[in-house]
Amino acid sequence: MAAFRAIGEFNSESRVSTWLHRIAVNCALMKLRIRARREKDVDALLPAFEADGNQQQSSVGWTETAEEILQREQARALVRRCIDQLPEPYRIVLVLRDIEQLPADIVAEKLKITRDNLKVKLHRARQALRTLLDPHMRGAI
Amino acid sequence: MSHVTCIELIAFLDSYVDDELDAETRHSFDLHLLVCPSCRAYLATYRETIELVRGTAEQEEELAHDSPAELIEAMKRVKR
Repeated sequence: MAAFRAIGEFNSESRVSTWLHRIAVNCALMKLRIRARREKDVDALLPAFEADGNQQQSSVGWTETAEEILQREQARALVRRCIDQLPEPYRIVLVLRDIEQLPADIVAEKLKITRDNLKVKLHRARQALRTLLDPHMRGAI
Repeated sequence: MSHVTCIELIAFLDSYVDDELDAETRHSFDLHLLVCPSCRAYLATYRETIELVRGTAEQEEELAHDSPAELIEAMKRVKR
């Protein structure tokens, strides 16, 4: 709907994908601000540790490399579904930094958080996503 | 940081991956990784996760480049 409303502003010299992406990012940022008070956390998806600092559950490697996994649409769809499961503030940080690859300063400014806070959020988002992917990636998808 | 545990390594794993640690800390992390298969696996899968996120987005970007000009024109016509 946002793309339809803004179609008059579309510059035909721009890439459609870039234009649609920008609209999607702006919509996501708007939703983030509206829902900031309802932020869920990702604690349950972070690794747990024993009192001596060791991991409570040993991590094991995945059977295939990312390059191999990405060859299959089914696997790419799974990655997208897992990203969608992340609480919104973490998903947005992951999208802006790891997908859009926007500079940290710009993302921190857009989200009105400090660079340190952004760094912590991104690390937690990646860890949470790793946890969501882990059971699938241990075996073939 | 002379003796590193799993909790410390994983807490600063993003800095390790992004090569933001000072030489001494990085060396301590490397030593821990040598003796801890669980942290080696965690590091490998953390890196794979980042690659999967970027790779999935790149695949979508390639598909999006195929968006037909007719679609844009049709949207503009409807809007008028």
